Amino acid sequence: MRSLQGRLAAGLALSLLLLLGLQYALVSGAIRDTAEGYIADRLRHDTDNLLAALQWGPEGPSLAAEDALYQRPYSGHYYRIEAGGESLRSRSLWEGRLPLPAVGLGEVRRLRATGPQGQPLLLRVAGLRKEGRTVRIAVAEDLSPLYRDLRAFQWRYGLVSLAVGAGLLGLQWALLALGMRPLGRLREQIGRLERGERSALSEAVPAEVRPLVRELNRLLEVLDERLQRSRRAMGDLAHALKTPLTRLCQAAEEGCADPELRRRLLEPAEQIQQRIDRELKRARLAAGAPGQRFDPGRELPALIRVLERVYAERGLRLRYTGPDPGLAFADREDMLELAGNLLDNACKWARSEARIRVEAQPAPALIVEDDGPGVPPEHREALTRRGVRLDEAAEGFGLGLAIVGDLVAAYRGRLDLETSADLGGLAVRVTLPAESLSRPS
Amino acid sequence: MRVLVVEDDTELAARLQQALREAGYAADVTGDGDEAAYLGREEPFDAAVLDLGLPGRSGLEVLAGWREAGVDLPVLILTVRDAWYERVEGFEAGADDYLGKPFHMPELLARLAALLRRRHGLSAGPLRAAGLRLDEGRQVVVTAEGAEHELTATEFRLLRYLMHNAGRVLSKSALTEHVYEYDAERDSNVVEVYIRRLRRKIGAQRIRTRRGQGYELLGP
Repeated sequence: MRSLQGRLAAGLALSLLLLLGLQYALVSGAIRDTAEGYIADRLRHDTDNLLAALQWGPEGPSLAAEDALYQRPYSGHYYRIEAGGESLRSRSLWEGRLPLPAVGLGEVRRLRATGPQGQPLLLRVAGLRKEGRTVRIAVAEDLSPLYRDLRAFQWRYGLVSLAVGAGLLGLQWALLALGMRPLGRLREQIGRLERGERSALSEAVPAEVRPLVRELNRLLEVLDERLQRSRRAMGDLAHALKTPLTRLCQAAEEGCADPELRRRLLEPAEQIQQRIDRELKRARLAAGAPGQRFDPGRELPALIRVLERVYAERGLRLRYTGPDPGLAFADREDMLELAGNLLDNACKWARSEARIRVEAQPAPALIVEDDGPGVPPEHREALTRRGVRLDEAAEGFGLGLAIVGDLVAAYRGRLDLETSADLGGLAVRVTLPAESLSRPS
Repeated sequence: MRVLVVEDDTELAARLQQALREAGYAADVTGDGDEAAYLGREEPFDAAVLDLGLPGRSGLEVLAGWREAGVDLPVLILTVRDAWYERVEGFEAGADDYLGKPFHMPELLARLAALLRRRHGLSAGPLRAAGLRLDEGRQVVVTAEGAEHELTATEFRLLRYLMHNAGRVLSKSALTEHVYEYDAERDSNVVEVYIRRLRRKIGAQRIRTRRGQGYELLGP
């Protein structure tokens, strides 16, 4: 679909141009008509004067008096009189001729003619009667001065119209842009929604869009509720399953004197537990749903404090480098799970030091390194290949890396295992798609 | 060493209590958040094992309440909520360790012992103080001279508490409170009897009586 603003602007501009054009035509027409009417009025006057001055002498009809304008050649004022077969014409016509169409008695005709020098003329012909004789009088006036004035006026008017039109178009565009701004804001908010930076759209929008926004907000709420509900349900399920499992393990550990039987009881119980853990964690993944963002500068130092306490006996050095608090991406719980598993794994293998680093550019990335034995390159591929049961693929890596694999897959990220350049052990690099990074607003 | 177990699953709670007793701790059990909050504030526990999913007041609230009231006993959280963000929240609320369910009892006991040792500034490994070595697994004390003495449950508890607090004067009532459970028959005279027995095993000069104040395990 084309832009709403473009379509509205085109429609408005077209109607504005039509209006201005029509106004231009009407105004010029009206002025021309008025001026011509005025001239025609004068011509009627001249006709009356000529008729009054018309007299008959022995050598035919003549005029008792005559305006000087009729004497000067090409003065722009002309007449021609036809009375009883005799014809009189103004001296101003000089060599030129003035048409004298036939009119009935008492009839008046107004028409356009071409003057002696090709000028446009307004011609008035009247069929009259004086002293029992039929007289036809044609009086004409040059219209070119009028037309010149009219053209000058039309230019001025046209220019003013164009300026006004341009101004109005600009104003329209500005008003449209202003009117469309709530939509732009909405679009921007939807973008933030997608990145999970906000959980609802602002309802401070024009009445036309408000129902849409409300409906969207309602849907978001339903979605969020559903996510919360399923997370809660998962938590309850975990509780419901793990507590009896705990008892089962306790019973096997304490009640079984036979180590073989104990192993046979504990092993499947442990497998069930790992399976539950992994599936629950996978089901809990938010991956793009609205929720609290992960701020590595704030969360990772807290996570490091946790691990320092958990591994207090080992006296490991743990270090975080990365952006200061403020940058945020992905879902907080997901990313803590990711970082927690990776760092926990690194702590398990580290001899004395583990590091976690966050990079923001060009895409958010988490790098966890340790100074442990590392993973030989030939085993790395098996660890990261999708679909491989990671918990079985590498003894000792346990469930952690499997959950990390699920998380990375859910975010469509990348999981790379390398050798740590600084520490010599394993370096796990998780790269998320660049879109999951919040841009500062 | 007296441990508070806050766990609403009665069967698991009973097992925990039993395992803790076998490992030489006095263990009090409650399944109620409010009671746990009260006991933690009012009773001199040495550590707590805290479940988070309690009816009524949640475990995290109980923990935060203790920390706010200045209760600094080491707390091990034992929970099915073992997502990392939950662990971070647990530690932020003041936990000292975190164990996900299901768990192995030996691991819980090892972590609890480590917590207590850390709290008293003792290093990892067998508990050593005042020239004595306490084998917590076998509940046997080895003297500097290399003589091994088996300990009864009460003797073991008493000696362990003394060793954790070596060089400090402990009143009879403090010893009673830390060695016996809440509803146990408490008679501070019994402490004298056990002190006498311990002296016979580890040497009378190692435990000094401070008249009117209590007892002190002398440093090496």
